[in-house]
Amino acid sequence: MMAGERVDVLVIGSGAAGAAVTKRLADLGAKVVCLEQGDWMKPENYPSTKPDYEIALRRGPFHFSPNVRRRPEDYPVVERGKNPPDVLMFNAVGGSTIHYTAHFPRLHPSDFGARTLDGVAEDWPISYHDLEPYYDMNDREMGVAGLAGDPANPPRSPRPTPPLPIGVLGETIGRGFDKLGWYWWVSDNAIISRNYQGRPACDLHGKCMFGCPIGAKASTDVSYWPKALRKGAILKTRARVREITLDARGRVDGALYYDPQGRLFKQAARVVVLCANGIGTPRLLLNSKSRLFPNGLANSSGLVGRNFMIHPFRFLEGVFEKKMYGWEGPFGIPAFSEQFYETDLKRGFVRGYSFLLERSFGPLHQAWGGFVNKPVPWGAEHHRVMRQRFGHIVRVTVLGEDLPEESNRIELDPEVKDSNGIPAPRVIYSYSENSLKILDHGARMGRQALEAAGAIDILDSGIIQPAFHLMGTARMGKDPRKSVVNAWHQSHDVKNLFLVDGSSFTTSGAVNPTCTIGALALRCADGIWERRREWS
Amino acid sequence: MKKWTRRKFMEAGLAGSVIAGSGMMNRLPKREAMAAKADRSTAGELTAEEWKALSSVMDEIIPADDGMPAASEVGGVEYLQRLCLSLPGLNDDLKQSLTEADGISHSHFGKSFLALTKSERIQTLVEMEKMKPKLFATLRDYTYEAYYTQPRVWKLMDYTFYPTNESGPKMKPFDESVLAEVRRKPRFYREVE
Repeated sequence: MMAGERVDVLVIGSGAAGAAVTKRLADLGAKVVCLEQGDWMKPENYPSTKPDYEIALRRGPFHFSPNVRRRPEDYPVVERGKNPPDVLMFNAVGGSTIHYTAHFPRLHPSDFGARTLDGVAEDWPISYHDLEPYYDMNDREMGVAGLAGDPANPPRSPRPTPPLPIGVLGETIGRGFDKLGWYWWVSDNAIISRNYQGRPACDLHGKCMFGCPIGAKASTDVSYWPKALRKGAILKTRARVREITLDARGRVDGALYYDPQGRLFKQAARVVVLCANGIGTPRLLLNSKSRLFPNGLANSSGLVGRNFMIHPFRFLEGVFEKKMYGWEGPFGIPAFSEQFYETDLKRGFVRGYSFLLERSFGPLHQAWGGFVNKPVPWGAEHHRVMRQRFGHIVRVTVLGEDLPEESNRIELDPEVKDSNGIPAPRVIYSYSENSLKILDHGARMGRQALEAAGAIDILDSGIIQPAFHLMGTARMGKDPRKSVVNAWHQSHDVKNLFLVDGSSFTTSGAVNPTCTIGALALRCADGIWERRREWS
Repeated sequence: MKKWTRRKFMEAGLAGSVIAGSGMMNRLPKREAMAAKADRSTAGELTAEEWKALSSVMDEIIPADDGMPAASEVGGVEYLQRLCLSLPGLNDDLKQSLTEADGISHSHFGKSFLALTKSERIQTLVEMEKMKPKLFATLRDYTYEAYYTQPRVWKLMDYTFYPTNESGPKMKPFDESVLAEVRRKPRFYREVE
C-alpha cells in the first residue's frame, strides 16, 4: 500500500457537495485533497452533441442509472422494497450534476421545522435563515438564472443572471395557473442566461440532461472545480475509496482507496469530509467497520442508512392544439408552482408538493411513451397520434415531499460487490400512505391546471418507480440518538469526520435538492475552518 | 467475491420492476429485453428472408400514411442491421420476434408472415402484442428508434435538432409582465417561529 502526504482535509466525492466544500476550504487556506471514483467527462462525448441523443435514455455509457451504464467507475445498486427505486446518479467529476436538470429552488423556512409546525418527522438543527447566506454564495459560485420576488418564497438577492426564456409553453401553463388564481413563478436554474465567470450563456439547445458541452449549465466540473484547482486544491480521479480509517484515538486519519489498476493507497488527513451522495455516503460508513465502530463508522445511533428519502414524482402531459416546441430552450425547469407546498390538513395529507412546469425531449422519447410511459400506438393511428402529441405537450410534474421512515433504508448487500470487491449498497424503499395521497392530490390539481391552460387531452403516468434525489441517510440533528451529524455536519461520534450531501437532509422538502446540498456544503466548510484549531 | 456480472446487474435492476413503469427512463422494455437475452443462447444471424419479414413487420408498425413514409422507406431495416453489429443480443430479440410472428401467422392463417395480406399481417401483430407483450414492445420500440433517429423524418415533422456546436433556437426573451398577477398576491410561505 502506498501512502500520500497528510493534508488538512480529505474530501470524498466531487459532486454538488464535494466541489463546494473543497473550493470553499481552498479559498480559506486549507490544503485539500478530493478523491473521486469517476473521471473528468469529455464534453465532446456528451450525447447532447449527437442527433441520436435520446438513445442514452435506454442504453450506453451515459444512461442515468449506474446499473445500466456500467462504467468501470460505477458501482451496482441493488433495488428492493415494495417500490424499489430506480436509482439515478452519476460517477464523474461533478457527480450527478453532470446530468441533473439544474433546477435550483430553495427549501422553504417551514421545511426546517416540520416537527414544530406539523408534528411530523424531526426539525433540522438549523433554520432557513442560517442557510440563506450560503444559498446566495452557492448561487454566485454556480451561476444561476432567475428572478427575485416570488411571493411563495422568502425574498432573495438579485439573481446572478436574468431568467431564461420560458417560451410559449411556459406562458401557456402560466396563464392556466393565473386563471385558477394559483401561485407560479419563473424558475431559478443553474444555467446562465448571460456570459458569467468565463462561461458562455446558454444557447437554448434544450438537451441539458444529456450533458452541456458549452458549460452554460453549472455542473460542478465547470463551476466550482476550475476555481478550486486554481486555489491549489488537489483532485485525484479514478480513486475509489474502500474505507475511512481511524487512528489509535478513534479519530479518522484518512481513507484507503484503489486506483484503476486495483492498487491500494492511503490518503492521510486531519479532517475527512464525506460527500458521496445519499447512497454512497452511508455505504462507505457501513463499509468502514472497526473494533471501535463494529456497526459502521459514525453509527452509534443506528441511523446510518436509515430514513432514506427519494422524492415521489408523477407526470402529467397536457396535449394542446397549439404547438409548444417543448424541445427548444434549456431543459431546466421553465417555471414552477408552490401553490400546494405548505401543509393544509383539509387535503388529507401532511406537508405538500411542488409543480414543475416542464419541457420534453425529442420525437423518439415521445414515440416511446414520453414521461408518462404511454407509447404512441403502432399501425394505422401512429402518425395521427404522433402529430397530435409531439411538440404539443406541456408537462406538469408533481414533486412531493417524502417523509423520513426508518424502514426505508440503505444496507450493504451480502453478495453483490463492485469491481474492487467492495460490498454494494442495497436500497429498500416503499411509498408511504402520505406520499401516495400527495401524488393523488397533485395529479387532480395538475389536471385542473392543464385544463385551465387549454389542454385538449391529458396523459397521466400514474404511480411510477421513484428515481430522483437521494436524501436523509446520515441526517442532521441536535440529538445524537436521533441523528448522525450535528448542525455543522460533524459526526456525533467522531469529531473530525464530517458528512455533507443529500444524506444530511433531516426532511426532504418538496423541491429539487441540489441547491440546498451546495449551500449546506459551503456552510459545513466554514464550520470546519472555524474549528481548525481542533484539527489533530 | 461475487463479481459484478451482467446477470447480477440484471437481478439488481429487475427486482420489483413490477411498478407501472417510470416513463421518464422507459426502463421496463430495456430490462425485460436484457433479462430475456441472458437466458437465451445466440439464435444466429437473421437470414435474408428474415430481414425481408422484418421489413414487412416494421412497415405495419409504422406504415406510410398522412404524408409520412413507412419505416423501411427511411432506412429502418438498414439501421437495425447496423445496430445488430454493435448491440449484443438485438439479433436474438429480432429473430425471436419474427419466429413468434411467423408462428402466429401459420396457426391463424396457415401461411408464413410474408405471404399474408395486409389485414392478416395486422391481425397477426395484434395477436402477438396480446400474447407476448414484452417481446412485441421490444420490436415496436426498436422500430421507433430506427425511424425517429432519421433526419429525413424530422424534417417532415417540423422538428429541428440543434447540435450544441451550432446556434440554438431563437426564443422570445422572458417577459416579466406574465407574472403581473402573481406579483399582486400576498406572501405565501410559513416561517418557523
